[in-house]
Amino acid sequence: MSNANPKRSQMAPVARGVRAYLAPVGRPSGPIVAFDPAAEGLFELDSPPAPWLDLGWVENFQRTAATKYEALRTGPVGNIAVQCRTQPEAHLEFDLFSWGKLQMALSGGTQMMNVLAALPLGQLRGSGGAAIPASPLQSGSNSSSLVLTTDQLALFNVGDIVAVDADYNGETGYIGAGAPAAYLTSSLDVGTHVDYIRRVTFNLSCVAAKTPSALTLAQPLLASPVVPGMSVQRVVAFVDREGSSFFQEWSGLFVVPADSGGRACFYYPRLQVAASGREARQELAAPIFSPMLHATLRALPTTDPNDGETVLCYRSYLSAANAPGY
Amino acid sequence: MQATKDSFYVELRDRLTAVDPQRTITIDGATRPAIVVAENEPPTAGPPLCDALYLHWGAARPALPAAGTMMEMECVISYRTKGTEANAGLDRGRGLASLDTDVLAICLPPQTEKCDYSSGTAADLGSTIFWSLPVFSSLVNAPPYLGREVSVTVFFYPEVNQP
Repeated sequence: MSNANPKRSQMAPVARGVRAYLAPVGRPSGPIVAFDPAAEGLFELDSPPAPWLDLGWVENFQRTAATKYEALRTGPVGNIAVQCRTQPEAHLEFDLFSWGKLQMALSGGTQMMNVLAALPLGQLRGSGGAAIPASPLQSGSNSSSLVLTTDQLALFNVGDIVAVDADYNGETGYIGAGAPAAYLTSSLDVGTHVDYIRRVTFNLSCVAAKTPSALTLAQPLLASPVVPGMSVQRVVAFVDREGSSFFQEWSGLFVVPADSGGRACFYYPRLQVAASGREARQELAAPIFSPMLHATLRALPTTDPNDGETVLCYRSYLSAANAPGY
Repeated sequence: MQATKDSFYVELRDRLTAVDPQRTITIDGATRPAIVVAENEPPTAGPPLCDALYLHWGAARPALPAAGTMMEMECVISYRTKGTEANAGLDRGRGLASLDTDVLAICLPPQTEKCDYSSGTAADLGSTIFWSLPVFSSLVNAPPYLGREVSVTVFFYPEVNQP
């Protein structure tokens, strides 16, 4: 094999969209998912490597570096002797066509709540009233199949979104299976908040089918394996709250697949929200429009284990076939 | 795309039956609601019937070029009337207005579920189609006929490449 005729034309990527992926960050000091271009760079866009979660295509993707560049001057005329960088900072903005739990969490940035199916005649609340009691998972359940007793199985239908997590038992700190979903500085009343973790958890999916004993899920749960003590409840809506104190934090991966070959990847190990959620308007044919979720994010620093450098974002490019190196 | 065309037609047909059950046509001895998909008629079909709605499907294109798979497809609804013999055609203006009213009525609400009718029965495809509000052309006066064309843009997700 030889490549005697590398083509400069293959160095100019031509693309038509940016695909976004998220991965949970272990908080406060747990693991951060690495994205290694060598091992994972050319993954199939519809099947990202675990634990990356597909957010879909995004629009108006805009990266901004806000790191300050300083010049140190010396001598009688103030010649620049050396430059340095201070206050490393990077921002990221984009619009999401898709609305869902992850998409709203990333764009809203605050605690993202699951509105659980409520008991009739219960007290009305903005984030959901007293919920229909949870259905305990039976043995044999896993991240794609939830085994229930026959009477509990009848409470769910194909198409339902369901939240799976443990009962609240007075925990504090970060809570939620699979990804930190909320932070409690002090315990809530256990008697009246037994469903609290399921109200916030990211461990959810859609019911794709029902068997005589189980719910089959359309997408695997974030937290695997399913642990004893978890229960499931039906989710009717998602809600976030302006004024909430929680900051979402996720690892972000943004891929620009070039039709002409090659692929650019932007990997942000830690992203937190930098502005409250708002919607952008994509006109289709007046008065029809698509309300897009607008995300404004700030990159937080990590350390590259290869050399100890502080890193906010990695930009990698996987060259197209027959592209010269430079 | 066929599912989109079929779903749009079936929904409008059912609505026409509900809002104006008397508006029917008879073709080959069969009486049916007076709404026809032109491309589904035989090549030997005669000229368009009066007082019937004809759906003509036009160009299709991506609705959001940069992201997603949503598409849009043009549909023109054409119709004409020559009034009634009893009134010597003097009521053709009112006849056209009646057709206009039916078109407005059946185009709202501007969405419906998308189904696959290829097997003869409706199989829900799990998404909806929706369309723009109808845009009415100028009146076309071609004696003895009085007619009009109405443009609607139908939005849909194609059945292919759906994750």
